[in-house]
Amino acid sequence: MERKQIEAVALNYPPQYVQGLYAIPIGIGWFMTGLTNLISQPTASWILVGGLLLCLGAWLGITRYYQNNFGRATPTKSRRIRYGLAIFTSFVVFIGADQLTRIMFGRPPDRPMSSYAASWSLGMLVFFGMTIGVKMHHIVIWGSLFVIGVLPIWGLNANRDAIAAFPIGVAIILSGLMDHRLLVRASNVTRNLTLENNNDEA
Amino acid sequence: MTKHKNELIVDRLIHEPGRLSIMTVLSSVESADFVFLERLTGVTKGNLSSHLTKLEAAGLIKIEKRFVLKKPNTNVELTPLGRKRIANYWDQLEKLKNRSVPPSE
Repeated sequence: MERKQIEAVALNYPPQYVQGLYAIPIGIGWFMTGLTNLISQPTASWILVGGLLLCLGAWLGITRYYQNNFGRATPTKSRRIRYGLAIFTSFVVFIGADQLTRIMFGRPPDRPMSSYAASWSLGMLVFFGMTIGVKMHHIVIWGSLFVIGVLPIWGLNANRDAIAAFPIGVAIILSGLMDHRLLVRASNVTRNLTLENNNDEA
Repeated sequence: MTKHKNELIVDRLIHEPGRLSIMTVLSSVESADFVFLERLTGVTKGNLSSHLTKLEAAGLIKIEKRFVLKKPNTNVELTPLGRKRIANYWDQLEKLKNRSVPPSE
């Protein structure tokens, strides 16, 4: 019986808001935000409304999928506190890094970079570091977004924050799909342990 | 109960692999439902139900039957006694394991 393995899977079973497939509607939400803010006045609000309805439908479907296939677990109090702290800290890192860059390089930054994308990726890495641990795919996906954010490929006249919503959306979806794959694999590991499926009298 | 010399006791109710995995999963969360336990332990529905009944009868778990979004849901959590017994079980096993390690020369 692999005690640590079973405990780790149960302990690290993510609360609803970090179950991987939820990243799909969240990522689509980012696309919608980027699309409707490409010019200074938000445009095509019907796209946003339609997109949000699509996200809501996807969210409900994903909730049903997780409940039917993975069930529900309430994390321990310490785990819930840790998730709350992780959300708060990652948000502070995101806002802090973004604002610091804008203080240093102007609003918007006078360099062809996206402080928004780079800061968001840092925030996400902090979040995963404080919760389920930074995995290789987190480093690759969020590290790539950070590099994209600081590379001088962003037009100075474009609305960089709106454009940044697209790579952020892609990164969220990719990261979520990989997290989901990890969850499936982790729960299968415990199933494959050599548990005698008998029910002898104790 | 298997009584080992020097008071090492293995809790036979928990020692059964299916029940041990159920108790270990429950010790890592506050509560979990039937589907979650089935998914993580790989124990079949029938066996899981039977194990849960035994554990409940021994006062190690508390089972709550409820409705979530109009669907029946069975929620399970360890009682303080259950939490103590599973922690004690792993302690005892660890002691047994350490005892079986041959002394280094």
